[in-house]
Amino acid sequence: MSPSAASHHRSHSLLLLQKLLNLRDKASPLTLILDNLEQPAHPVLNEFMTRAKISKAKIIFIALSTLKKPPLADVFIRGRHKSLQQLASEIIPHVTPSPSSPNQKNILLFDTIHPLLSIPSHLPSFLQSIIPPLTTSCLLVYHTDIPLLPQSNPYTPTPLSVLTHLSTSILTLTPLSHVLATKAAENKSLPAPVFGLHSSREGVLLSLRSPSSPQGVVITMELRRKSGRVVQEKFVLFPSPPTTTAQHRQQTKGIGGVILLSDHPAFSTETTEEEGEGIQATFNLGLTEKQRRDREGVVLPYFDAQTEVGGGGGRILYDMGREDDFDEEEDEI
Amino acid sequence: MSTTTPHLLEPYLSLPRETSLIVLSSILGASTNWLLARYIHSYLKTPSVEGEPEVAVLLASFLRDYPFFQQTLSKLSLDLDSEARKGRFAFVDGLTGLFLPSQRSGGRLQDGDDLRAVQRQIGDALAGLDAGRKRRVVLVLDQPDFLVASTSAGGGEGAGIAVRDVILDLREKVHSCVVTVSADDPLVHPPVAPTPLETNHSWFVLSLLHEADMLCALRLLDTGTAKDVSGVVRITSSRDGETEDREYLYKVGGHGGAKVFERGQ
Repeated sequence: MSPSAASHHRSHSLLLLQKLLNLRDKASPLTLILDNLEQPAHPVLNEFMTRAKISKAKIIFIALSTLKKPPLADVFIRGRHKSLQQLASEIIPHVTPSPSSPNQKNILLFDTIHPLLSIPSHLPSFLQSIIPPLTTSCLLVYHTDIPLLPQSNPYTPTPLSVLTHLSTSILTLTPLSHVLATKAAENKSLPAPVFGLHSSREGVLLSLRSPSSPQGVVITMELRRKSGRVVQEKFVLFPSPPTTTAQHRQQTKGIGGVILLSDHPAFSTETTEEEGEGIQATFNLGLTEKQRRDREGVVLPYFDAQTEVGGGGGRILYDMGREDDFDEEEDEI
Repeated sequence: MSTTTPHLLEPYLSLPRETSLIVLSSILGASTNWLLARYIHSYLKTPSVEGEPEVAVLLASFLRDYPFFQQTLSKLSLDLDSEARKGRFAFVDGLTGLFLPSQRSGGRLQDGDDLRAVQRQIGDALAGLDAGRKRRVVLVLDQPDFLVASTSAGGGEGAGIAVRDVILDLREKVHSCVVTVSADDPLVHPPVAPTPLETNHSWFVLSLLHEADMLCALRLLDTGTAKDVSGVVRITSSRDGETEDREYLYKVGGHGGAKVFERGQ
């Protein structure tokens, strides 16, 4: 891809993710975040909440497994022990546009969707009732490593397939350190490393993470545009570290940085620059100007044979030496 | 063999943050009893700070009875009876009497009766500990995954959800919570055609792990058995990078002592 097309693609993809994260232009009413134990969704949820705070959207946090209200949330609704209808009736007053602020943007965050999945066929109507169009974006977190409970009707689709069908964008999360380790193993044609739950050792539930390993979340985004086109891209989200100086936090406003995965140094496929003399040797392998001119001037042998193309190729050219004897009868060509 | 707190574990045994959840996972050859005893010992020995309410421990065990804990903690020179008299410790026996006829109301077993009885018992004990003097209570649940296997709540299929709800309700009333669960392979990785027990157990354990702030996973040595090492403890914290993830080896001795050391020592 030519440099300008590559940079255009990069800025286009980054713009899409920024629009999604900043909830601009109603980019995605229903976003599904697929996380697992190795990479929980907290950094991404915090990122959404930080950006929503900056753009003055109302943050409604529906807690099904959290006990404490997150500091950035405006409204905290406890979702346990409530049926879908009760929960919907509690949420709707917060999301309906009030006459005083008709353009108020809302963002609904579910910290986990699992307790509501007992009857997956009720999900679409529930979600539709709590997401009025044009103002509200909803984020659902689905843990991919929690197994499915047996459903009453085995012929209905699984909750995950219902959710992926309904959502307008799907973010799949993996830790950056795992992706880099897999890439390093791939470069050396070694088998991919296994982490945490999937490693075959009994009793291992989470992988160890060293403090020196890169902190970042790899987001595989599948965005379904209004036109129906699907855009798939991989990004790396660097959460803003809590140890940055206050001034730095002011400048970045606490937002994390986003780059394309293909821009990450370990993944870039650009060829390295001209290295010049790559071989370290004690003798000089270069050419002086005179040597270069002489080399240009060398006439390669059998040059004449190459000038005639086609049937004449393969003609024998014989230059007589001093001691050679040309016998006219025998040596005729 | 030391019977005091292992030096390497000290940073992890201090009083946790409010509303935090610590999960200790065990497998068949590596049980959490020694670690749990040291947690309880550390909480009860927390020096009281001026102006802050003192720490109390409510222990609810579903697989082991009171004499067992009494014995284990007396080896760490902690007398549970005297702590209970001082109002800093209470024990709820979640196993004996759970399925006896006297628990059932009106002779007819209702769905989830046993869970409600357990919740009521623990709630009462909690009120007793906390009454008046406003203590910070740490709730220690020893193997509530047994409840997942044994309860009839949710028609047997929703057992994992029911027990998890009970734990969340209880966590709202206490300062923080420590839970031990079994993490054996068949229980955490359900096979292709899982039984309801396997599905419910893995649902419960993995949901708990998603909520946990810290996980201490115990397992056997990867390379087999050794005379001076009982197993490996892997301590991982929730992914905000605050505390480091570490892995240590441990050896549990015969008289209740435990030694924790790093690899290569």
